[in-house]
Amino acid sequence: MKKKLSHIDSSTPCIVSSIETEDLDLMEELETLGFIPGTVVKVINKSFLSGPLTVFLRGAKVAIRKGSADIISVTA
Amino acid sequence: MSKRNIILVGPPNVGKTTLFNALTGRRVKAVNYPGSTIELNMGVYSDNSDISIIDTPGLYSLKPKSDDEYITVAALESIKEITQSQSDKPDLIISLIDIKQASRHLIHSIQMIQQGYPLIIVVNKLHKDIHIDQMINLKNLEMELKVPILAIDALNKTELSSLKRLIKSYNYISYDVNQLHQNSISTQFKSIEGMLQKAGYSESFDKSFDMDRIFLNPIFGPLVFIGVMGLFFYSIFSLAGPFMDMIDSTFAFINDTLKHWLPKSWLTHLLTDGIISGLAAVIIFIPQLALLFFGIGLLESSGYLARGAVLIDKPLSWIGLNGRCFVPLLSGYACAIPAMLSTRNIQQEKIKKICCFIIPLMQCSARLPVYGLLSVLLFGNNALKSSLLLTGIYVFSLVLGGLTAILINPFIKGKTTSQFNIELPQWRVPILKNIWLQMIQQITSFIKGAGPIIVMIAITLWAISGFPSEEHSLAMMLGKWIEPLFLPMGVDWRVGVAILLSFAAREVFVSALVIMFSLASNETQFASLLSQATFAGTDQLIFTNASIAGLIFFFMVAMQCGATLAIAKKEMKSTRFALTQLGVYIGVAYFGAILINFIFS
Repeated sequence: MKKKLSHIDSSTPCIVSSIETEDLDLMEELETLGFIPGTVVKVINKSFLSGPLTVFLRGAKVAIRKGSADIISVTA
Repeated sequence: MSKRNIILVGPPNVGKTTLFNALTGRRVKAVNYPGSTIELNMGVYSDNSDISIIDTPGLYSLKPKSDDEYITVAALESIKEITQSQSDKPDLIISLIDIKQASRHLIHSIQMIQQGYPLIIVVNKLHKDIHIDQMINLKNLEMELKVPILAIDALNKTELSSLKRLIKSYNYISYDVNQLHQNSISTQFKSIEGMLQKAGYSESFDKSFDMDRIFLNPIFGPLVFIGVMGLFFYSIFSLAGPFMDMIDSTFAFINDTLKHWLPKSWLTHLLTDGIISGLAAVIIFIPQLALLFFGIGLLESSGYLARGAVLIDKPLSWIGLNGRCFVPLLSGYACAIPAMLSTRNIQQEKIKKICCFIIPLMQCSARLPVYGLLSVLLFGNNALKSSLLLTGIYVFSLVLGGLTAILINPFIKGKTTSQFNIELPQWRVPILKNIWLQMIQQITSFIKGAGPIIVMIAITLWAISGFPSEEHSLAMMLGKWIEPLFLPMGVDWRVGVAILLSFAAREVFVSALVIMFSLASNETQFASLLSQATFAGTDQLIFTNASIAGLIFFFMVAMQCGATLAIAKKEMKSTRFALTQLGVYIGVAYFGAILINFIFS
């Protein structure tokens, strides 16, 4: 089932299916971080006052703003 | 024989600096990349003095996003400009990676291979508990990528000799690898994944306990953050105290001894009250500066700074900034210069400009001697009241910084984006040696910068204060000429001259007052001398509560030093930006100080 990454519960692994944005810079930035379709990701923490989310992927931890997590579609 | 260059490239926190220190010994010099103020560390290879090793800022991809990454890419492309060597490209690149993040970290390696750079990939052992050869067959990966790959432990210098052998035997003729064509990042990821799979590598989630469950927890995270920051500033001031007292009494002792043994003459006076006291005013806050640099190094090296950036991202977004501004703003409490340099890490031009604009409002440590003196004049030696004053100044400066960021936002051009994506480095035990070396480097460059200015100003001020005679000196004539500007602030020409001179470096304010006020007196207690000082020919006190409050406000807002002005101009590539910044802050500070003096007197 397709969901937004920002809607996934902490500690639940899921797979990136697509990044939906017109902003090519943002798209490339997220791809460089490792958000490629097929990548297994896991939200570690959501933060205070809907600040950035901490996400584990490809052996690394990254923090992305909620706005970025909203455009990443995942399948649980 | 021509010089050869080896460049260390890799993402942040893979141990570039550790490997750099292991390969170079101590002969390090900073080279400037042309057209920018960034310093790339360059050292001589300990095995062969014909080879230079160059350390670069961290990068993820050859397509730069921030100024920091841009510098590394530019350095890769035009090594000639920074090293005076004959070649356009480096002779060898060592690309460092963390095996746990193999797919992400091989991205820039693969991009460099595609562009034909001669490359060695070094897998640095960053974690005690991993066995690289159990995770991956490096020989297989080597065959896939067609570049040498080697696993080392840079910190414990394991396998360093293998790396050195590889460097020696490396065929310096440029590689011919073109089987991989320029393609999109996602295709690059796919091909790396394929190669890693053939080498028996698979990524796994860390099973060990994740400290970020606490440090980035929605509830505990912010609490711990406030605690860490509080402890950070508290320990800087409390730990520095004894050292500062020691420096103070040492200089007082030297001065007293010199005054006792040398003949009473203007030369002795110049040496003791002029030069030595002037230098003492700078050296005295080196302990605080050192602790600030060390503390920031410690937080950075442990991985906490990146967490801080995440935690503070939301509040900073309210004033149009983002988490990447955290380190520059924090460094601003040490010195605006490294702070402005660290804005290179900020990717969005507009945010970078706003951040640079408000950095001078963060109370740099050079202002501490000024506040120290003014607080003694206000409260005597009441430690509680003066620490409350200092806390008040710090908190108020944050509020002021926030307001300024909001107010100038519409005036700064550029796209407003709401992005903040950052990699969180592994938690790790800080490498004290790296932090120490970096701190020494920063302190040395600070002393080299400020020392000569202080001495020169002390001598000049001394000369014009006593020439042609103390009663009708050049300084007084100049001072009287500018006095009307400073009278509304409630201070006389001498304080005015000290304020003007503090443009060279803020702490000069204190040493300038020492020189001008102690000239006509034999009083040794400088503070009591000042508190009794009156406007010439009257019994009206200069340092009243009103004028001191005005001066504190003035120094909080104005007088970014000349060096800050120069750095702002260079970093923003705009004279207009730097002059606007200077003008706005001096204007607000000046009229604010007049208003405060008017209200309270």
